[in-house]
Amino acid sequence: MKIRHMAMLAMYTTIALTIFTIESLLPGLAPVSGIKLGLSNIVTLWLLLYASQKDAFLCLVMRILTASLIAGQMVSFAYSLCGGVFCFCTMAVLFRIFGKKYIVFISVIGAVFHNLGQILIAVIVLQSFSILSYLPLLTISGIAAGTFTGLCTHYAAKRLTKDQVWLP
Amino acid sequence: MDKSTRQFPRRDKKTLLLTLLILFILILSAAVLLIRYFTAGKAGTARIYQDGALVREIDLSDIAAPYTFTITSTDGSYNTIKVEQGAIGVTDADCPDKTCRNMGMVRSSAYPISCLPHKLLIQIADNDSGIDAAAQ
Repeated sequence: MKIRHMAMLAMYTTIALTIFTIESLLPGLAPVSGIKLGLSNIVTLWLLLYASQKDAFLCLVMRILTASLIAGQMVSFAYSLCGGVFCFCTMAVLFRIFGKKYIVFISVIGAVFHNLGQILIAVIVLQSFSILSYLPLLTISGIAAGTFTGLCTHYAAKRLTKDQVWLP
Repeated sequence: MDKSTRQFPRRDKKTLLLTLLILFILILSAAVLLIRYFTAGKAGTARIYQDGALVREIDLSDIAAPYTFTITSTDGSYNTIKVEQGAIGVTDADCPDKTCRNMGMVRSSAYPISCLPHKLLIQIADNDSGIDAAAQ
């Protein structure tokens, strides 16, 4: 890995971590954990558009790791990692099938799978299926959040020309 | 970025497919949500689970005076739970996210209260039998 490449990825990880930390300081949108905008997913989408799947995945995992180190919560690390990996795998597959024109749709389905992954971890941790009753609510909130982050990425990409974008 | 990404996806088969897929998921979720909302009864019996094991069962229909108690886990973390006639809720916890506390006092059987960091779950059932509850 070239130094320049590594520095760029570190920079993108820092951006994602900053967005994540600021978002976590905002009051919750609803009294159910999991209902949030997930703004740091913009960085993952951005790297899928402009870099490679490998770079996007590295950046995501590093962001989750550093965020959990700051928060000091190993439980939230499991939730974030499972949700993040679920979301990423879905988006990576869809990205291969549909391509970059459909980034908004990819973001929506990715967000839904993020919440699905987190609920599945909750089922394992709590050893009870009753937590699945949150699934419809979290699916709808995932669609809303995914639309928002997808549109953010889409319009940011639309505004910038290739020479204005940092490429890892 | 090339020009093709600059416009929002136009009307083609892939857009239609993805839109229909997302609409399907949305409508399905909304339907399940509404069904759950209308079939949920009043809170009857609360069962408190910790690490998947039942630690306490409370009949919420027969509470003379509201009271609170604390559930402590093996690593020393705690959840203070308040019980009153027909309602249960977490009033205090030393977890970082405070999601359980933010749910307030719960009066319906639609959603369980969960505290993910402490592996605590409060299941709420209505006191009617299962068949009656489903038929309502």
